[in-house]
Amino acid sequence: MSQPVLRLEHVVKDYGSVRAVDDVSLTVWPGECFGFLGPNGAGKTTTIGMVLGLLHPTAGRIEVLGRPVTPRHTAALREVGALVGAPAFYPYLSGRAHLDLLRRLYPDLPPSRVDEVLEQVGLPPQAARRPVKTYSTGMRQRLGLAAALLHRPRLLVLDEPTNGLDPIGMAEMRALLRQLAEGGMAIFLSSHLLHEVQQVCDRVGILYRGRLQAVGPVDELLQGRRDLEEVFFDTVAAASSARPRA
Amino acid sequence: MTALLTLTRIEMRKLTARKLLWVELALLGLLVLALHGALAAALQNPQGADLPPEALAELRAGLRWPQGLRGALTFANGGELGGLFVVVLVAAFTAQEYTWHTVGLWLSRGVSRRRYLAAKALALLPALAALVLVTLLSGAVATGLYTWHSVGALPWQQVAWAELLVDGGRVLLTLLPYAALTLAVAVLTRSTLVTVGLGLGYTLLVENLAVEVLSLLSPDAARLTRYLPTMLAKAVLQPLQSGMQAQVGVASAARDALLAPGPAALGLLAYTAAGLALAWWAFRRQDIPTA
Repeated sequence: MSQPVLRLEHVVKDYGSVRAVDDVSLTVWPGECFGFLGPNGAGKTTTIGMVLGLLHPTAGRIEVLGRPVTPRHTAALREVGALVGAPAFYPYLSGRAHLDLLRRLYPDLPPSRVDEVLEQVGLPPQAARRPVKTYSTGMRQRLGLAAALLHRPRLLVLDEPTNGLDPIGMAEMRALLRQLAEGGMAIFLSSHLLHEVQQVCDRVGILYRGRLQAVGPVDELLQGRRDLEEVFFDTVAAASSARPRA
Repeated sequence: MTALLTLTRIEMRKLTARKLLWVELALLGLLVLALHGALAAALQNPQGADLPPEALAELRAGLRWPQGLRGALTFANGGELGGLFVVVLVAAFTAQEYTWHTVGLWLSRGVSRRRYLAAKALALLPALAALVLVTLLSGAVATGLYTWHSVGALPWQQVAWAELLVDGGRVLLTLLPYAALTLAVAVLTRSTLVTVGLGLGYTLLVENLAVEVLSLLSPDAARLTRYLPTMLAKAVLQPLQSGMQAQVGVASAARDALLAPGPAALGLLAYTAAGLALAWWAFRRQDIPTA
């Protein structure tokens, strides 16, 4: 069996006395799209922050392609692309200037890669030349995806990637994610859009109050249920009645 | 090393693409021109100054080439205009990365925190040098015009260009602690507004107030002020200062207590190292929130 692209082992994150992520373990394989679900405040973004080396885990181990990731061990993150929340950009730089700057981090990437990736995410060249402060939310999201894909990462981490996209944009994103996964890229997708996740992802994990309550292939979790929404609500309801919030 | 150079170039591109740097340079240049213009006008018609003719002649010479060129440079020092401009520039360049959540854009790509912070500090050096250069150029224009007006020619041969270069280095050195300490405050507070407020408050009020108050207390207390960045800067710049500038803004007891330029330069470097160390200590422990 091939090496997992992402592995979390017993990861914990405390903020003072509040436990935001509680003993989360999961694995994402090459070519797999893993849906990371949970209500607001469940700990999804905190988990993603740790995966990206931005937050210090309180305990546990995170590995990307077998190499540890912490804020002090970040070399493995060169194989990771991320689009998290509202993508962060310098308002005075154009979309193209951002991609040009980011490209310099990867000496092997030719300048033509910027055009390729802009086309891949559907951001027109004229728009790419404008300062980011003039972009709509959807355009920022496309630029964020372009930045995430620029260096052909082996793991793509996405947190609500369809924010601000119209239905056509969402369908394009869905098709692109499937295409990337088929090409061998591992995708770690956090989203509230359960219908989208059901269509795109191979496996899902449901996080509630910092704990991973259910993990498995979408088909297995769906057995006897109508859709992923029902799975989600059943899981959350079961966890809610089983363990009062600390 | 290559990675650090690449990152430094990226940081410099981010800095030079901002209007703020160019606005600051233009503003500093105009202020230096205006201040020299005001001084020249005052010396042209010194009513009420109550100065003996020799002192007046000395002040006028201080505005003319070659002395005026060196004197103009002191406007860019950390304890004067330069410090204020550096605080605003470094605060915006560093703290705004937190406001815009762009710190994570780099760190989530495997850029190490050590390199990121080092590249930021290195990228600031040319910007600080530009502040000094603009001051020198606009000072050269202003004092050149004054020299031309009063003497009818520019004494190019009398200008010690190599010495002027060293003087520029001295002024740059006085800016370093202000830049490093502002960087530390920006990392600690993650807020542009708070950093600018604290930086300007310290530069404009606390330092000057401390010098005045300690100077009034006792000679021993006055001697303590020599270790403040502003007084270290004045000590390093003693060779540049004309009689007029040496009398501006420094209580006499404190002025008498200035360190020699060599130890003062070491003091400035120590403040710079302390600022950078504090910034690094805070940055490596920080949790960087995603957007």
